[in-house]
Amino acid sequence: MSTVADYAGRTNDLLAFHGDFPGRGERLVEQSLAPPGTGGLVCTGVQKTAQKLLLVLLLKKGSMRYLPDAGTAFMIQAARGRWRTAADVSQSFYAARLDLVRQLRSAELDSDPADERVSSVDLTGITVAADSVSLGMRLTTAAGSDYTFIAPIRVGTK
Amino acid sequence: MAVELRPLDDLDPALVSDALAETVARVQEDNPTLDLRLGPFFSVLAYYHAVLATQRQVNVNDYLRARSLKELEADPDLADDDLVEGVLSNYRVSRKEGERSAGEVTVVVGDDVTVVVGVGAVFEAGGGRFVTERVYTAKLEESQVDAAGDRLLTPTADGNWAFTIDVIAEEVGASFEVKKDAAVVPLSLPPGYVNSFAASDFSGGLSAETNADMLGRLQLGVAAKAVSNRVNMQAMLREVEEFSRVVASSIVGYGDPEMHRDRHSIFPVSMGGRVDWYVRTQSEVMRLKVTKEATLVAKGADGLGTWQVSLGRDDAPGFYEVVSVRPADAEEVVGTYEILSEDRAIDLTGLGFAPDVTGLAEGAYSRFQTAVVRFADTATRVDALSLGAHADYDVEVRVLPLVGEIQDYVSSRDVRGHGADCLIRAPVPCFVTINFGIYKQAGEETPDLDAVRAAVCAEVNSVGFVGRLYASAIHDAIGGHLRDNVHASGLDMHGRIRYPLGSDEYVRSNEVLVIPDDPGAMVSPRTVQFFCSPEDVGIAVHTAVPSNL
Repeated sequence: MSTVADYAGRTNDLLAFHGDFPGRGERLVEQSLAPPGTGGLVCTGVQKTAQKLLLVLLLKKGSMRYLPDAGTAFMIQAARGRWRTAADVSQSFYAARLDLVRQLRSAELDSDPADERVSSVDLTGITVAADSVSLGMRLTTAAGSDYTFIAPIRVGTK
Repeated sequence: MAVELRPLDDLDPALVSDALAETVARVQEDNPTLDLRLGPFFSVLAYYHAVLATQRQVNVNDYLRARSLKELEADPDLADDDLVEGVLSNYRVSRKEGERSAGEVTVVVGDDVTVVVGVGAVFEAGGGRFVTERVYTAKLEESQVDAAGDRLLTPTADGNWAFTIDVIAEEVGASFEVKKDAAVVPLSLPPGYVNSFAASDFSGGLSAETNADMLGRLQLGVAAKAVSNRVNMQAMLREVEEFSRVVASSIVGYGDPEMHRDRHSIFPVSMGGRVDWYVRTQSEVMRLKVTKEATLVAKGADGLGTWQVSLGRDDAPGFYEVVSVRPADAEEVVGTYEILSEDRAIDLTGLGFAPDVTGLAEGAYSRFQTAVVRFADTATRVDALSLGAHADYDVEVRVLPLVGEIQDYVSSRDVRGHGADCLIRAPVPCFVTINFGIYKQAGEETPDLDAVRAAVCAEVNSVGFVGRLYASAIHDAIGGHLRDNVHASGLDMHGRIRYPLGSDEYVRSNEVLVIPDDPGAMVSPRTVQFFCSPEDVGIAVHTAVPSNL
């Protein structure tokens, strides 16, 4: 079991997904910079890496006026109503994955710890409901460890 | 806020990028344990800080530029009006506010009963709205006319009755000018209403100065207001509120060939000490109606007479020419009695101080000009009248206003120069007629011809004392009102120069009207101005079938 000492000297980022993320088993996390009653938390390690992955994947490319290349076309496809089946979602994901991995790696340094560097990102499962899509993703870091998490996305598919 | 914040989506991306890089670097330097490469710190905190910081810095730069005269002159619309006024107030330049146009309206009614026009009554003319500022009561008996708002109902030749009221535009602006005889229609018709029209040209309408206008006066603002050099003299004139809207002026003095008044000595050389100041007080020449008492000077065998009317120096100072002579208050009469002769002279009598003027040529178009006009009245039989009988007539003249007032001002003891006299003259007029064709395809909407005429007039009337009117400039003015498939061609410019001694010379061209250089007659680019009114612009609209079918 890792402890705080294992992460000494690491750089931190604001925690955006509060809960056991990426954890083992299914846990619903809260997307918030500062949950009520708290002043916010910081994160590091694989939690920071997984958080970056989700934030870049779900950011609509071009939505940040002065960072036009940030984000992917993944949620743009969703907003255009292209998702009808799991195959549609899978196609959008893999079309966006190249851009996603490129952006994650462009922000990495060789001096970064291995568990903060992305090796690959894959889909493990897709569940399509009338008003939401759940993505199961597996993040493989340069350290060789895998982390699987589910990202529910509220979007109409019918 | 004096200088508006730019919208967040209207910033230079390079500036935002630089600000973002600087923010990340500074925060990272101060907080080495933070990851600012990607994630919430970067995309939420650093990014939006950079955007807002850039907006503020741009605002500061805009403010600093707005305080700079150099930047304001390059971009007069950079800062809002309050800021520009604040900067230019340091140079004694203040914004001229707009004025409302005003004039007289003759109302014709069919019954000889008292008519009341209430305060705030609205009249419409030329796309503008005009209102009365008092109650007007038209009465039949002259003895009943005793209040400021009372008007006398006078009979017209066609059996109706007419009275005249004053109206003023609802809004400020130079676009509310109405020409004499133009229809001025009341929104609420008075009892017995027949028609109503402008009794004379409306005047006084002025638009508020723009930032560019104020900057144009900057040099005048810092100049000494004195009868000194040309800049100082113009600054002096514009310092007076009444004369601050002078359109253009040209000062002829020692050494100029157009100056004749400084050669009155026995030596055939210029002695200096004389200034002729040609002042264009407004863009268009005004038509002014003056009611004068005429004298019967000759009786013809046909029972008709020749009458004579005198225009004194105070009737229409600096007037250009007599346009018409008609019976007094006969508004329904169209045209003019034949003008047989017009003899002009100079009247310097009874003045404490008068410029040195020794002839008509030297004093033409000045406030000292007088005229004796003889005309033939072909409607009034004079069999029963004896020579010397009197009758009232309306004399309409073309004139620029304020010539007399400006002369009185520069001649006043406190203002006039110690070593020179200054004669104010209306510029020698070149009355311009413009004709051209507009060619459009079938189905294309006809351009707004009134707007085209107004644009052409504005272009002609804005030419300074340069002596040339270019057709290309007029084409530019026309083109601004034409759509892509509509074109103007066949431009013909015709100018009539009325020389100081009354003769007419003509110039004509379809490229450039050139004022002749005739300083011996005081006609040159330094003394002549182009004048054009909308009725002098002729437009023929041609519809062509498209050929690209």
